Amino acid sequence: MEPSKIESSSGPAGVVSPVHIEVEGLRFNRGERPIFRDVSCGFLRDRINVILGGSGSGKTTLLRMLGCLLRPDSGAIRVDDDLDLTRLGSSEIKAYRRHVGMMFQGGALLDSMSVFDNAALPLREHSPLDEAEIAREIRHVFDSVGLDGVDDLLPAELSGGMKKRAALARALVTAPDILLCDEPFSGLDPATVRLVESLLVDVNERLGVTMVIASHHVASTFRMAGRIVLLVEGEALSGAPDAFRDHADPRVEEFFAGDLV
Amino acid sequence: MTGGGVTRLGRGATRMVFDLGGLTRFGAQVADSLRRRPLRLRRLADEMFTIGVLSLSIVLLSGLLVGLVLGLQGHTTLVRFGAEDTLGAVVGLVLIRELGPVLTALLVTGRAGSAVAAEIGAMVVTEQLDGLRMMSVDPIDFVVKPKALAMVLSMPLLSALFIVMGVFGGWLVGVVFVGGDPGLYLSSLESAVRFREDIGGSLLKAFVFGVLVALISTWRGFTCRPNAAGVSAATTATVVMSSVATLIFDYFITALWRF
Repeated sequence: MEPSKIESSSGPAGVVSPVHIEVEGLRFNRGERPIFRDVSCGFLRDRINVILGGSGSGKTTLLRMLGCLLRPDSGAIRVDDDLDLTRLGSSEIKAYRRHVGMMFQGGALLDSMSVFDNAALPLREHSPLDEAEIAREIRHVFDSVGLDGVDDLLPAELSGGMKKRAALARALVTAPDILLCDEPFSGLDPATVRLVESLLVDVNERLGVTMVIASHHVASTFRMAGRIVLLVEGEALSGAPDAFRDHADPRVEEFFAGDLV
Repeated sequence: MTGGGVTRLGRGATRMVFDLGGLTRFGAQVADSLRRRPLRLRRLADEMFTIGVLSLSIVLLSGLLVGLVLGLQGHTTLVRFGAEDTLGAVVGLVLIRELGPVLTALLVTGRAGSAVAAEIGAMVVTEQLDGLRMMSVDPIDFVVKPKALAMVLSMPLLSALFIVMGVFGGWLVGVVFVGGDPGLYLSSLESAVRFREDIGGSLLKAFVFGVLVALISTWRGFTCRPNAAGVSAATTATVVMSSVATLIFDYFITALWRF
């Protein structure tokens, strides 16, 4: 079966964004259960790419493969046409991750450290900046995601929305080329979903970072995505949001089941 | 033995071999991280407080109680042979050679080892270790190294304090409660204890037990299944494995050190 049955063109009229990350023929089993039979798709550079799919379809699995937290059984994941993530050694993975930020579903903030120290950690570990410069950087990033007065709080003292923003700030503090977001809207009320969504769009527009978001939130996906990758039955259907609205594939219709307007 | 029994035995043996291999590999990674900079002294100090200082009360209390019991039992027995003047030596040698390091290791396993496994396991469940990996920060270097080092450094110190409290407990019984000679209690202790054989062996045991508890607790937490049941299993396995390993190694060190 062809991996992509939907038009893969995307972006504003007249602008063709090149593919930043190309996934080719991924296969992956969890125990006896096949998660990916043959997943091929591309993620556009500097755009918001959303991975949709039902529960257990492999959205987070694919995202973790993009972050080299998981290896597929076979297939390739190419970044910038030449770097195959499935063949990297541990030191190359470390070097690759310097250019990648990841916002985890639950935030994954270190619960024994303050919000400030969490965000400062990658800079303290990898940059030559002194404490004053790090504090300036953190202030700048916190301002850009709308975090204020939380520096000394522990992650457990933050609300769900604040935690997402703190996680986003930590992911952005090293100015990554690629930002991976795992279910950024899960557990949030509708107003906070809008807030986080506008934040992601704003970050994408200002920083021009390639975003790959695993989500099950259809409405926000159609508002912000430049490209959608729909995981169904171990395969990927990808294309621009408009291509999904009128698509006749029964699997697409079944997944959206009235959510498309 | 039924076919099912053989299968279970085979699976158990295979799992044990895999576990030993995994633990050895993990130990090598931790040892490798000790060579790397930074040493993370701030985190090490925090862990020394959590593992060492917060274990003080239970270690000191247990040491005192064990010393009191040893004093009573020792005095009752020694009186039969007219050797009650050697109570200090008996209490001291039993504590220094055996009970001090072993009981301290078992206490620290229950109080701090289980907590270390649960904390690291919770970090697995909440993806904090993956978060570190995505920041190109090695979780073994950042999380495991300070905890393991703090455990290894704390164990001999706690064991020494356990012994001191135990000797004090024996003194309370032998001198204060039954009216023995305080000078004889201390002089018999002083003349019986040899530095290399007794003190050295005691510190060696405490150090080895510290390494065992540190590795088992951090490894169990690090490799736990990412759910609540996984954390619970890791915590239980830490206490069981560390306790058994402590007793096994105690025998071999005692046999090899030639007390």
